[in-house]
This record gives sequence, C-alpha cells and structure tokens, in this order.
Amino acid sequence: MSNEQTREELLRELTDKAIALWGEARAAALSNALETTASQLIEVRQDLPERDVEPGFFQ
Amino acid sequence: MAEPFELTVSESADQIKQGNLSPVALAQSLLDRIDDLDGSLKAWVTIDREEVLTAARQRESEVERGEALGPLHGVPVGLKDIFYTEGMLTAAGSRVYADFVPNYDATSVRKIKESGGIVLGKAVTTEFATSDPSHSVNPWNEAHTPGGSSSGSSVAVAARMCAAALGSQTGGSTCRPASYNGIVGLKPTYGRISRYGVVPVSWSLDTVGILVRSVADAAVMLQAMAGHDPNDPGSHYVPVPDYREEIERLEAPPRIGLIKEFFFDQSTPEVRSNTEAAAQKLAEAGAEIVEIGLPASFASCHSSQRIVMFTECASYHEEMYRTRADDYGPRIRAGIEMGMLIPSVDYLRAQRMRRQFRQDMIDTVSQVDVALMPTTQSPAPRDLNTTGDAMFQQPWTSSGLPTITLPSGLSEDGLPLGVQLAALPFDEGKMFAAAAWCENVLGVSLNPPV
Repeated sequence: MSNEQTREELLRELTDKAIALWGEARAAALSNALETTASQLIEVRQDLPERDVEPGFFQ
Repeated sequence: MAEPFELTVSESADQIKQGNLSPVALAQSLLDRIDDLDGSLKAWVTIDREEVLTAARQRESEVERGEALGPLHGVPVGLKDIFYTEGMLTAAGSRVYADFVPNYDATSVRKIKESGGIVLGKAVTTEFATSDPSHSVNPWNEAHTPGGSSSGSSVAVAARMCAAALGSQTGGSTCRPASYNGIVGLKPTYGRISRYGVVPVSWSLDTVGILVRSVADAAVMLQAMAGHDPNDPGSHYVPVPDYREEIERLEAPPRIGLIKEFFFDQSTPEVRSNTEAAAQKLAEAGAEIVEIGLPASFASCHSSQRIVMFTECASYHEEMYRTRADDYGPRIRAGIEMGMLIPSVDYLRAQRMRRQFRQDMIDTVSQVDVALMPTTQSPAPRDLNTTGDAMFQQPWTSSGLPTITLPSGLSEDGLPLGVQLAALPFDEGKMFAAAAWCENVLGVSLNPPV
C-alpha cells in the first residue's frame, strides 16, 4: 500500500478485500465501518512518527 | 446510622477491624440490596450467595481469632465478568464464552482475596468488553445508557449494591460509565495492575479499572492489586508506594492544568460550564489553575488507538470467529473484521505513533501536578443503542497515563457530570492526593434515586 493512496482508493481496496473474504452482502453491511477505518488509516498515514521511534507495545 | 450497604470500602474495613461490623452482616446487607434492586437495574450476571456467605463467615472467624487482617478484610467486591474466577462462570457477556469456567483466578482477583476481600459476584459487561450495549440500567434514568463496557460494575457501585467493583478500560470503559453513574473511576497507569486472567480486548491497551465512591477507596483498591506480575508481559517493575500515605502528602493545594483544547470544543455547553465552575471553585480554595495545550500528536491519537484495538482484538478472536462469527454481536463482529483488514504496516505505524504520543503527553502533564478536563462530552446519552463516546478517555488509555474521574454535579436533567484528572505514569500517589483535595473542595457525592 502506498502512502500516496487517497481515502477513496483505500476504501475501495478495503471493500474489495472484505468482498473477497466475506462476500458482497457482508461487505455492504460493513460499509460504515469500512468508511471509518479508511479515514483512520489515512489519518495515521499522514502523521508519521520520526524514523527512530520504535513501536510502544507495552508502555 | 448508615445501613451496611451504604458504607464505602474504607468505612467497611475500618468498622470490621474495630469489631463494629460483622462481615456476615455486611455481605447479607449487600445481598439483600441486590435482591431489592437488581431485578430492575440488571447489574449482575452471576452471584453465588452461599459462597459469599461462607467466605464472610470465614472472615468473621478470622476477626474473632484476632488474626492479622488485610486492608480489604471482609469487604465484598464485584468483578466485571471478564475477570477469571476459579470454578465460577466467566462469560464475558458473550455467547462464545457462555460456558467458560476458568480453573484459576485472575491475579487481581487473587490479590483481592489475599487482602481479605470477598468476591461478591460477576457484574454485567458488554460483549467481550467492547461496544455492543449491555442490558444494565442507568439508576439515574432508565432511558439513558449506563455506559460501558464496565456497565454492571458502575451501576452496582452507584446503586450501593457493592462499595467497589473491578472494571477495565481499553478505550473509555471505566471512567466513562463511572461518570455516567455518578461515581469515582480509576484507570491506573498501563502495567500497574496485572491483566493476567482478564479476557482481553487489546493486549497493549487493556487496563484493569476500579469503580468506587471515593478517592480514598480507589487508593485502597489499587494498593491491594498493584505490583509486578511475571504472568503479564505488560506488567511493570516500578515499586508500589503506600498510596494511603501518599494521599495525605499534599503540602499545598495542587497546581492543576486545565485542558480546554479539544475537551471544551467537543463538550456540550452544560459540561463546559460545569468544568469551568469546578475549576473556579478549586482556584478559590487555593489551587493554581493554568491552562495547558495539547501536543501535535494528539490529532491522530484516536485513530491510532482504534487501529491498534481492532487489530489486536481480531488477533485474539480470529480462531473463534472462524467457526462462530454469527455468535458475535454486530459491533464487536465488525470490529474484528476491520482488524482483519488492517495492514500490518499500519498497525505498527499506529504503535510507533502511540510511543511518540505517550512521550508528548508526559511532557504536557509534567508542567503541572495533575491535568483537569471533563470526563465525558455530555451526561449519559438518552440512547440505549450506544454506550456513549470514548473520545475523552481514549487519549489517556492510549498513552497509558493514569486518570481518575470524580463526580462534579448534576445536569439540568438530573444526570451525573464528572471531571477527570490525569497524572504522570506511576504517579497515582500524587494523583490521589490532588484528587482527594479536589473531592473535598467540590463536595459532590451523588446517590441515585433508587
């Protein structure tokens, strides 16, 4: 996945993946969740941490 | 004289130690209270009355024999139904776990018992401690949500069916229902209380929470459970101070950082004015109130928290979901499915952002003794299809800093409002001292009309 991806492109990609995993009907039922997740992923991708920052699993 | 069920943890423990209250009388009083109220409030899922009374009789004979008594001796405690209890159903509000009986106690439960406490019963949780609402009823107004996910624990403490209950917080599941029900809620520093034997939502976010009716009780309960546990990889080695000493150690009124940015912008006018009035009252009593801002990394903290939560939740549930997807409620099922779609690179990016965010929040809070803000955007919403919004608690859960919520008044509709204090990691002692001072100055103690 590219950092340059737009929200719409990402939403399409997530929806396609949902269709492949669970079918059209389930993907349609998840449309609100998919929209929200796409927005959250875009937000996180736009706000990159400094390169030296490691993950903080148990902090 | 107060009925036994009305006593706080500290009051009960003191009276038992002094020989003025029988553990059996206390347990029976709480069981009677539950019989009177729980048909309508639905806070409890499992109570073994015989077991409770047997434990209470044992505590009573220990008192009579003059044995050394723990800080919770004879005090019944409620447990959110995600805490493992040996030999007792732990269904996590789920059809998937409907028959699950653990063969050991969670570390927190074991420590409560070692401190002399008694397991009163298992309190209702939303399904797997996530956001599908439970059937518990808000004792202030049945048309409003009691919040979640620690809904039963909060309702039980507010309605005097127990003086203390355990909850948990992955987003806002302790402090939000505490505020909606008019009680004190503590979310300690991540790693301060062991998560071992607690059904997880998200390993790197889950924090054991405490629901009580006073700051002093929060300190007593944390004292009983805090400390390193080798069974929990997130558990910390930081020494546990004597919180009951630290709570008394305030040499001067605290320096309090009021956070208006975001928290006031997102609040209703009523919540804003309640928090401003509280800050004004604290200032008049001698606190130094300064306004503090938020770091740039705050902007994405909610998104990173959700990405981490969904991904870890999906990882935990993956195997059960594969065969029992239809047994999950709609919101947790959608959350698991979103977690399955999130790329690993994004999950790790969110975890890296959380690390940066934690440091930024430490820098922010280190300017003051405690930070102050409203606990929730509004009083409990008039909507039983939601548990409310976690946006005011998520930043503190994600950064791991400790918070405590105190009741701060009633809304025009007669619903509880609360303010939230936050402190530096593992600085619960200082937070308790400031919170107890605020509790005393604000003088708000709420009792629902049940």
